[in-house]
Amino acid sequence: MDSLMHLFEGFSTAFALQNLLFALVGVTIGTLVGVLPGLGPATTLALLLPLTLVFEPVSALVLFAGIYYGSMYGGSTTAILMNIPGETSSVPTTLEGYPMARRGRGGAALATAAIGSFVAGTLAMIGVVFLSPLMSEVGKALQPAEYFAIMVFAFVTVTSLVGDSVVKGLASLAIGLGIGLVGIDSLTGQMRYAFGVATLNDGVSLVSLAVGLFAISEAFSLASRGPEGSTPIIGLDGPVWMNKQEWKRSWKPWLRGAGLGFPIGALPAGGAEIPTFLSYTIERRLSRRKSEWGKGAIEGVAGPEAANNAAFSGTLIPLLTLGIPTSATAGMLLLAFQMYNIQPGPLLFESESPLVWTLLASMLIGNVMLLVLNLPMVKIWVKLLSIPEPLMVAGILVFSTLGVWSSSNSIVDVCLAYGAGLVGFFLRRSGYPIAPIIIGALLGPLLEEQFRRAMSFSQGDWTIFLTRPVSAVILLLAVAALVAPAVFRRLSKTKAIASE
Amino acid sequence: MSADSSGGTTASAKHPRAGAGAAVEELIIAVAVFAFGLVMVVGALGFDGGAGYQVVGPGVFPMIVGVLGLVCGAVLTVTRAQLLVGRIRGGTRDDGPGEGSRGEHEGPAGQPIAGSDEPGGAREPIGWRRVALLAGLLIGYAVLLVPVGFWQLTGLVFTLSTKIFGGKRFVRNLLIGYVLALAVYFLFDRVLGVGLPDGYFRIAG
Repeated sequence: MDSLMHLFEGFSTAFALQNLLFALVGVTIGTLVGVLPGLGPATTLALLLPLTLVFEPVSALVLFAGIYYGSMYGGSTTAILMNIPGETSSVPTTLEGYPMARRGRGGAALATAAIGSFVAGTLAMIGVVFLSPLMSEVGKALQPAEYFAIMVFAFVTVTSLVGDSVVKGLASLAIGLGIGLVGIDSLTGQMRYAFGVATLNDGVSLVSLAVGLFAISEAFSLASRGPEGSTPIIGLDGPVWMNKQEWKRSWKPWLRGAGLGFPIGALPAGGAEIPTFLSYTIERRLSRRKSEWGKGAIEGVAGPEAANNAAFSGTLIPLLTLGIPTSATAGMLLLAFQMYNIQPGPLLFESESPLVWTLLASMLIGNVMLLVLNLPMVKIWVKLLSIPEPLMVAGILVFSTLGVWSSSNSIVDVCLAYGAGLVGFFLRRSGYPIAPIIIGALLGPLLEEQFRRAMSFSQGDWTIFLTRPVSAVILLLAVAALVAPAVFRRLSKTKAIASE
Repeated sequence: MSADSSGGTTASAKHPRAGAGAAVEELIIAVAVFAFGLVMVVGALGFDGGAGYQVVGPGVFPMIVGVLGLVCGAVLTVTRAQLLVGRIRGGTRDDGPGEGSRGEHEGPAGQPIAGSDEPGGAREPIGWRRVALLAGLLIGYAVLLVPVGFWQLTGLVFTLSTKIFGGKRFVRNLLIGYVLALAVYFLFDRVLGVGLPDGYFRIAG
């Protein structure tokens, strides 16, 4: 019940007029940018993160939390009306949502997505409120070897479950970890990989890196694509609301989606995509109207959207209590904390208690705001879908540059962002995932720290990671997660060849 | 089911002839990954600052990361080189062992999935000219930002980038660009106190 008391205190801060305003501005801007075609939540967050840093910590985090949720709501709009998923986890929404829109039920698809996200997001946030303090206790009990093993597990799952090639994912991870190592070693004062460049002494600016890898590289890939690839937008007539039958068909998938998304998201393992795809598959299997699937079955929008939002909230648990982001979007949130020298981890709920609870409270408020904002105002967002691509890209460039400059006042960092954008563009073209780079760069220092602490405890004995049962089991799971996709792929390949 | 999934097919499937070009690009990146690993390892060998009272010195972890990079780079280089040779010889789409095709994600239902977190993967043929122009524009933006000033330059960069992306209404875009640049300048520089480069024509007040 301690949690409830803290939460009420959090609400009292969050309900301060100024913070309500920040939350409102956050969800509005988040939706506004997230609804732009092709800008997924991670890109939206990277683009807007530096701009929130001009405010004091509580306001900035409240603002950013609003953007966090708003960007996802915006993403489902493009998935339904344009068949463009902003990120992999919105793909199931396109499978049923877009056909629904084509049948003239776009309003219902948007409504079930918005209400389902609200329901699942709120349930998941309640889970976060009650489970986070418990997880903090677990986190405090962790020894360095176990902490190290959990981080390795998170890295491996982020790497092997996201991309299409494990080796490419690991290459991305190595690049990210390497970037995280640049600068002065905090334990020995040794300068590492700065190559005599003064700006690199304090490490690579992760804000520049994120803006470059997500926003600028998006501009480059739009440039490479050519203007012909524009998708027709399905217009939206009629109200954004559901009829009685659609309500009846939606509420169970919402709850099942929340039940899938929250626990999976709360694991310190990557792959926000898994619960949404699982939800899609389960709803399809449970459905009595099999013939409707692929042509716009509302369950296929309701379930995955709920699962997505619940998973999104669930990732807050490993993020806040262990300091481990398990998705690119969670990485952006970690970066926001770090910009204010706040290190999420087992001690966060003690050291930054008012701030964390205000954040959680304002996320709950933000969810309500989004519901209110989205149902009646979605027609305004729909207008944004038809913004000409040249104007959109120009806007990305301007706000990226503005953001990087305002976070550091350094032209070197602006150049770094541009460079990271170009490199990221080439990596993405060749199928290298971006998320492991940013998560590796963010978490690398913490991983090294725990590694060295574990090795100090064991006095240099490398087997410590395997002789301690908990860490051995987790590392074993990590190896399994690394190998399993490749094995499955080969198995299905052999099967396909055999059946030919 | 697949009728509506746009852009989900791989580059090589859509444009067989682009296969060799894509393979060269992949090979270059694979070699770059290897080189990155090499730099990490060589650097790690040079960290002799001493471990002090630490059991593990500043070079051990970078060495692990470097070796990871080296191994990935080596594997990718070999498989990509094989791929390239295969493409040049037969023009077939013989992907390396265990390596999925580029930019394609398979959903549980078996459909290729477009536009993920890494949506750039599957587009070909590509507008190299526009990529080069954009890179040039960004270099100009970075070099001139401080001497010329934020709003003065931003309006122009905005307009030029719309031009690169096929925007036709130059004058309208110029207007939008400068209105946006000035609005952003006043909000961030004057109201929020960020301190944007003023250039030579600082607006008084």
